[in-house]
Amino acid sequence: MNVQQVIFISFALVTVFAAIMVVSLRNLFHAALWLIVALLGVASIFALLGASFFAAVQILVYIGAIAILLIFAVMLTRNIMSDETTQTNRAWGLAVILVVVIFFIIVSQISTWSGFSQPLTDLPLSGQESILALGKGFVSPNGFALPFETASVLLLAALLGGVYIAMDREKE
Amino acid sequence: MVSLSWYLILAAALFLIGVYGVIVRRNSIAILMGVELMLNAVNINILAFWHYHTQLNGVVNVSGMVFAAIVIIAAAAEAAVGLALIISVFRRKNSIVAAEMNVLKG
Repeated sequence: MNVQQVIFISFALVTVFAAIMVVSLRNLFHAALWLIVALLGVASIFALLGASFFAAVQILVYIGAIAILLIFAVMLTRNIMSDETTQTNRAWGLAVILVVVIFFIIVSQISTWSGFSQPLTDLPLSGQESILALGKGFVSPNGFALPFETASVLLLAALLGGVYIAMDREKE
Repeated sequence: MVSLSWYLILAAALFLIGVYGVIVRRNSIAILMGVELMLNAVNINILAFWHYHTQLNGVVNVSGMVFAAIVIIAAAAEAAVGLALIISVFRRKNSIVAAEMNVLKG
């Protein structure tokens, strides 16, 4: 077992443990903090995959924006669900069985594919070639200029919709 | 070397933990946290296959990276609108339990 495998396994274990804490803790504030650990673990997996841009974007967008937004929402609604009351519904036993069965089905099915155990070597790219290709792809009309612009319109619509939905109309 | 299968199994585990959170949690903010975990697992899968294809073909596969970026953009929009909806429901009903949001129930 070489160094890269040890690094991958330690990051993967941290990520999976943090994800389990996110879905099982009663205190939602602690769950949100464990979500940040899980997102950091995913960012390190992205870095291991050679997608350094996405590791940075993961930290900026998920930890910098989405996790903070979730923590704000938890604090705004905090006193309504006390930490003592049960946080899960009655189906949790069934859900555990379902999830474990689906996991084994997925793994047994994808392990029949020939590329399953293909080792991922370091990419033969010089410098930041992949980020340059992504940037050019986003703005070239033959590439992905239209999806990119559509995504910006989607973000604007989500921003306006979020403000409009959360606005307190009864006080005005 | 880390093989592709390790990434796929990690992504499957993370996705199913997210599914478990979405199924069992009563608090709607916790359900959104489960959805975030699922979106992250999908992104691990997309970038693992991006690496695989780039490695096999020797040229950068731009489509895979664009796909991952669009997933992140959609996740940001989903979180913003979802939390605004939860705040709005909380203001009207003083509850964020998903099972009690049944105004539209016939």
